[in-house]
Amino acid sequence: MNKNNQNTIKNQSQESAGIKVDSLTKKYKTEEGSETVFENLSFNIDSGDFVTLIGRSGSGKSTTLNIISQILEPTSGTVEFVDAEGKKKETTLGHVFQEPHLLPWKTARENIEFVHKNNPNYSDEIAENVLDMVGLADHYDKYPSKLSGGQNQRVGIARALSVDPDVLLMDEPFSSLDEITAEEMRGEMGRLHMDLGKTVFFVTHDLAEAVQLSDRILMLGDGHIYDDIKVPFDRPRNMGSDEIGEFNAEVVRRFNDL
Amino acid sequence: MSYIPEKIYNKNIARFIGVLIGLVAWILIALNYPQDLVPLPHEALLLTWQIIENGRIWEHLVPTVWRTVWGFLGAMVLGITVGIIMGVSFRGQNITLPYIIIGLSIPGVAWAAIWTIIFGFTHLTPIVTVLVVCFPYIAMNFWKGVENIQLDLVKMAKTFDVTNKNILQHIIIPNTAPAAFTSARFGLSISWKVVAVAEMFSANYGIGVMIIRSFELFRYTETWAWALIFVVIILFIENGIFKPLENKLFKYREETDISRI
Amino acid sequence: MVENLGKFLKIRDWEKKLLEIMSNITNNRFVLFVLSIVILLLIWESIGRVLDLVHLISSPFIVGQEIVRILYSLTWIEHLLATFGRVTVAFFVSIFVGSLIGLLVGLTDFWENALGSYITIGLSLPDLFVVVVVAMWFGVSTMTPIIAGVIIGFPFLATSLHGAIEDIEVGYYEMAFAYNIDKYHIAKDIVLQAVLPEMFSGARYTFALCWKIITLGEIIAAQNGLGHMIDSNLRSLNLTGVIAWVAIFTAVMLIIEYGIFQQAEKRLFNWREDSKGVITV
Repeated sequence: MNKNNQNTIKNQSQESAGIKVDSLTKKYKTEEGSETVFENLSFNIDSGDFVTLIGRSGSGKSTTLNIISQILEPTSGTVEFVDAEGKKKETTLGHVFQEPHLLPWKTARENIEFVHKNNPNYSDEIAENVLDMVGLADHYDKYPSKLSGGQNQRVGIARALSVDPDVLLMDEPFSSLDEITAEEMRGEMGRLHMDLGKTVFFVTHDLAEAVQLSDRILMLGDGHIYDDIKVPFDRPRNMGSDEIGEFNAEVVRRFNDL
Repeated sequence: MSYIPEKIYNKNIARFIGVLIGLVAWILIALNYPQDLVPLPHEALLLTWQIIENGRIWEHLVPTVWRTVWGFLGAMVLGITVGIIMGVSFRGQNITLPYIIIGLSIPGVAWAAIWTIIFGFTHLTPIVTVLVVCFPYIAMNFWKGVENIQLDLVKMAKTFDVTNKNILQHIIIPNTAPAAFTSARFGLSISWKVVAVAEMFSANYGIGVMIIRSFELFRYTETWAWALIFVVIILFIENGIFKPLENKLFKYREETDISRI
Repeated sequence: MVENLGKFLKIRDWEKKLLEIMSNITNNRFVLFVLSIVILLLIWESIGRVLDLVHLISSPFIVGQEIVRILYSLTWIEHLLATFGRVTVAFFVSIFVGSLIGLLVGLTDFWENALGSYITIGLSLPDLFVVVVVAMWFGVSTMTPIIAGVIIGFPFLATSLHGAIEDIEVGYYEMAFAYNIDKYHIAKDIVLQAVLPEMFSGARYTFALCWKIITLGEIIAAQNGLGHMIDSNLRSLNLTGVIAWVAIFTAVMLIIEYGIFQQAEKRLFNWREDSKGVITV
């Protein structure tokens, strides 16, 4: 596993955390009464794993991610972050949004600085390092309006990395990009995961993307998790190979088997 | 208990408190200043009712309305023409721009003074003043409206050999309808305000005239009465006619900020 | 179009070139602008001379002379300072009050419902009404125009601010919550920055608005300033005088609006990708 990789990336510790989700339930109050998004979700994610939660639009996958990210409150149930022994651990989270939500009046560098307002140890170096990591070394001082969609999304990823997160939460980060850029970004994401070894909780509706990137795929539908698949291939993955092609087909079949 | 009614309950409480604050403020102010200066709400209303009752209101309301309507119509004609020119041609924009800027920057009262000297004490003065002050806003609105007509729709229609008449009727007109409506509404409310100012100098009959004359004669309660009539009519037109109309016609659109024209 | 014209008239090459040059010149923004004004002035002048109406409608030439005379006599300084002094005061007070109310209404539902109608009414109040009511109170003094300007000015700013706050993308807040940003920084780096552009346009509009109201106020209730000069020239039916004074003040006004405000706007907001044209009221 990647945890044994001795690469020292500047300012990035090799720490990561596992996630324990127990009986997570989310309901919304509506005019008629209440609507259940999902009920009693339980799953564990091992430290350092790349896990994708996949589901159709409206299945509640973004909601799940937002609850883990502490933006939303669950109706009931708990989310806990644990270390390798299963003990509770203080965890820093890095959230990557579907639309990067960069503040348009701040440069790339300043947008990264923005999430460090309470960090006395922050220095410009941190922003420059993460921007280098996502391939934006010449764009430190550009405004979002002068960057492409893909570049903006990269800044979003850099921002998430800049807090040295134990867990990376990614909410359909490539779905608003054109296919070519998205391909590129998937490759980079895979590489980043290999180098950094962080836990990644990834949400998408794109099955091929899930197979390309993850160690494990969870399928969400009808308010519960109905399948859990391990992806047994080494990285980097050759998406054109027959093996993976067959595996893909299997995943699609099981996905539609709701 | 259901979720929704709670919200309406709170909303009305807030509104009620708002109105209460206003009334209290008015009464406090009126009590602290000499009677003549700021009448208590009921006194002003009493006088207003008297004016309406004995028919004096009509000899002044009618000319004012007349002038407003004509000035407004003139402004619409000029404004729409200029607006379309600006929307359609780049050159047109640059040629008409000076007029728009001049129209927008010079205060209404300055125009009123100028036209008063030229046209004297006739109906023409307030009408021309209203026209000149309003048309830039209408032109700007129409300029935006024309620019927004989706040319793609027109091109699409042409590839299907839709007749020009149908293009006009089903694409161009519905597309400019919102702009026309906003212009009319904005234009009318400006017209109404400007007409009072224009009447200030130059007329014998009119609501603006009554407001300023009673003020100069220190008959303040009367000033309040006329002013109230004036304001109530505006509020009625704005909120009683235009707002519901707008809501009905343009339910599908989002609110556009007038201050962003 | 030039090609078609050329083909149609079978014009020789150099004539075609000339047409092209003319076309380019008349497409130039600035030239058209200036040309338009010049033509307007010429028409004015000719109507006056030809129809012998100069005593009635004056003429650019005569007005020009009067402007020069006024500028030389330095009387304009006192009035300019008076009017624009009042405008500046009214402007800042409007901004202050407008921002306060805009914030209240924008940030809490309660105040939005309580004060919302007042703002709507405030937006539609007729100028004459406000000026006269204030004049009843404060009489002939410098306070009347200023207060009238504030009363009419602040609802516009409040509305601008209200609209701007509502327009802030929810995503920014989401991002701030996800990264545990504290309220102070949310206010300073998100809310404040997001509303600034619209506030700026609103402020510019309020400035122009204050000027118009104050001019009206000065006619009714002041001893100096543009309004007063218009009034005195009006009483003596001196059209040339009225136009001359209006021209001088409007020129100053335009310089402030398009020179100062627009330049500041361009500089402050260079992070925006759309370039706003000359006319944004």
